[in-house]
Amino acid sequence: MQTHVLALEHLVAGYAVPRQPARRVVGPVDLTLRAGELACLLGPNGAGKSTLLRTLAGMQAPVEGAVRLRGDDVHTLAPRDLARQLSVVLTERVTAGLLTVYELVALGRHPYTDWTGRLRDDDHAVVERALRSVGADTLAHRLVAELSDGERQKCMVARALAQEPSVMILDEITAFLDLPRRVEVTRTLARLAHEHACAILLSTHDLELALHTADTLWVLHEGRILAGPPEVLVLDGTFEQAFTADGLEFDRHRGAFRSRHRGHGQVTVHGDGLEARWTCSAMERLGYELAPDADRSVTVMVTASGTAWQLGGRFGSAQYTSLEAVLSAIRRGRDTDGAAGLAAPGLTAARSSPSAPPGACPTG
Amino acid sequence: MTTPALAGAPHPRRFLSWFATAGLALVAAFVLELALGPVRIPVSSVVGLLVGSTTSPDTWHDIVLAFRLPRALNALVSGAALGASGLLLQTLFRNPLADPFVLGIMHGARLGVAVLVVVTGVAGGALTSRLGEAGVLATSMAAGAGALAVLLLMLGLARRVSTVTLLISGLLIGYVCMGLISVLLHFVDEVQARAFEQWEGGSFDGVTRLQLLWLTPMTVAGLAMLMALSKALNGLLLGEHYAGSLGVHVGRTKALAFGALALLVGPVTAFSGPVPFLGLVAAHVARGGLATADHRLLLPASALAGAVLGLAADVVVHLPWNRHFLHLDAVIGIIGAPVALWVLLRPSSRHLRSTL
Repeated sequence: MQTHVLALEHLVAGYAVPRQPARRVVGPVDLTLRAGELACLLGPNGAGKSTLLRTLAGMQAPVEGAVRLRGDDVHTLAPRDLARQLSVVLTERVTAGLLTVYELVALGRHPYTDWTGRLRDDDHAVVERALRSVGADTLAHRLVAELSDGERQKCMVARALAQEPSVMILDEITAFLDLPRRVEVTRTLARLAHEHACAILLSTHDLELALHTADTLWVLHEGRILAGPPEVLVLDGTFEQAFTADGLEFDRHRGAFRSRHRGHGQVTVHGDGLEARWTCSAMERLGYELAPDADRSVTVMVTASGTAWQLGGRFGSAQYTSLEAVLSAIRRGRDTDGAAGLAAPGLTAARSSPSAPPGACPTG
Repeated sequence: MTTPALAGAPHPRRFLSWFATAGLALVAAFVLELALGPVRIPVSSVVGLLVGSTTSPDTWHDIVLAFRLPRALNALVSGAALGASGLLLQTLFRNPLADPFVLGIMHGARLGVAVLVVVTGVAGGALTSRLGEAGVLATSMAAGAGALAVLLLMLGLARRVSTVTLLISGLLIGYVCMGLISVLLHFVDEVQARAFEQWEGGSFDGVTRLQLLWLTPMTVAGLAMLMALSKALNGLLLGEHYAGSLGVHVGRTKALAFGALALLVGPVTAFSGPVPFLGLVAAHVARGGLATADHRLLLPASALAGAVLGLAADVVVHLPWNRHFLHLDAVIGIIGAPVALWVLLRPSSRHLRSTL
């Protein structure tokens, strides 16, 4: 297996502006993609993800530098030669009426068929394999126009696979899907990259999913790309730096985002298990910061009759048998005694020591 | 390798029966076109005259071969040209309601001819008879140039406006062309202007042998070009970006398609005037019958459907009515407009309406 199928050499992506210097959106960047890896391109809206992807796919000329596909310049390769090595799935919706899924996927064989476009037996075999790879073989005779968003994206991926590429570039194809479908498509891509030994570059907004699925992350931040395995980027603070926005911050301990508005003071959650974990989550949502030995506490206890929640400290002392009752009790208390909570002195103190583990909260 | 289980080629039998039916309809319409009219001539005599028999009266000989045959051939060839153009435009614009008439392209072609008429100072039929072959060729080319100008304008617009707005724009551009034609005709004398107005509406009548001799090869060339492009046109079904990523030379394909369109629409409009909706209806008849998006089948099918429709509409126009009241525009409009409405209102076109 050859490493480095795609190489970005001092690449600057952007737009040519008439009678002005070109607008540089991304770069200069020196990066490589390896065969068999799924890379996710992350970055806020307007950071230039689509511009970069179009440039990598040869659809847009670079401002500077070059994109090399197994050594050949993507922007000078003949369209047919490029199509045999690189395929794309874009955000734009395909609305071809009367096109069946099979015909759609078979269009992926275009760069291999003669001028009549006739499919030979081995072309049919590739199309069928592509359909099976994404689990769309049962859709083969359906019309593309009748598919759901998720099914259509799967078929577009199958079409891209049918080109037998060494690089696949996919632009936010999971954006319109619900969470289970997003997870499914992303996992499928990771598997396909490994099985077909091709490099897949996927731009996405789904940071947490990318963090758990991608082999490599490309984090686009202020025109530069910080690349590396997800865990490394979390540990060295790249993630926090790139995505800390107003009111939201990345929690390195949990690998997830959380709200930074915690104006109600600190709370300690005691207990183990799933109930305690989601109690922590609920406390954060209500605006409390998790800390050890805080002046409020919730103890989650597993008793013979089920789970019980014991409030303590400034929450007052009371016991409840459901989390819902706990939350409404805390809200009621805040309404009558709101001023005390909002002026909590613990807030700034806790902020200055971010390395403190979040209370007794079990992670994961 | 065994036959693939999911195999794509879905209904060869359906395709075969569609083409056989359409072929029979074409032959029937062609014979009816020659047989029906103010003078009814038996089908047997028509066939006899066509194969060179001399047993029929001389008047029948003249009516069928000198008068009705050129008109029938014109309806057949022009219908085929417009049918294929309709399909091509629907693919290029990714708009199921595109058609050379609806997008104003035929009006552009007429404007091209009007400009030529004013510049050379000789109108319509006069130009042809006075200048012979050069005149026929010049009017075809002027019409083709006018068609191309409007096509490029509409393609520029298509990037900016939605599907349905584009159709309204086509209508408006058609009106602008008609207005300009009126203005231009003020600069030529009345006799020439009247000659031009004779094909104000579309009609397959009055085509000369010379015009047919040019129309036919140009249409055949246009259709052949499109057949050669059918693989690339299939790629364009997914839009230009995807087509490019599949290895289609998008720019080259579009340039060739424009050339083919000028060959198909220019001469037809120059000789028969603006024939409405024929391309639109033919493309949908082909699609509806074959239930495929594959241009390798749809292009010949649209041309065939267009030829049948052109002939059938012309048969209706020339039925032996007591009073000659039906024009080609009226006959095709009565079929074409409802088909266009159906395309717009059917449930699967929801996305067309929502982009208003």
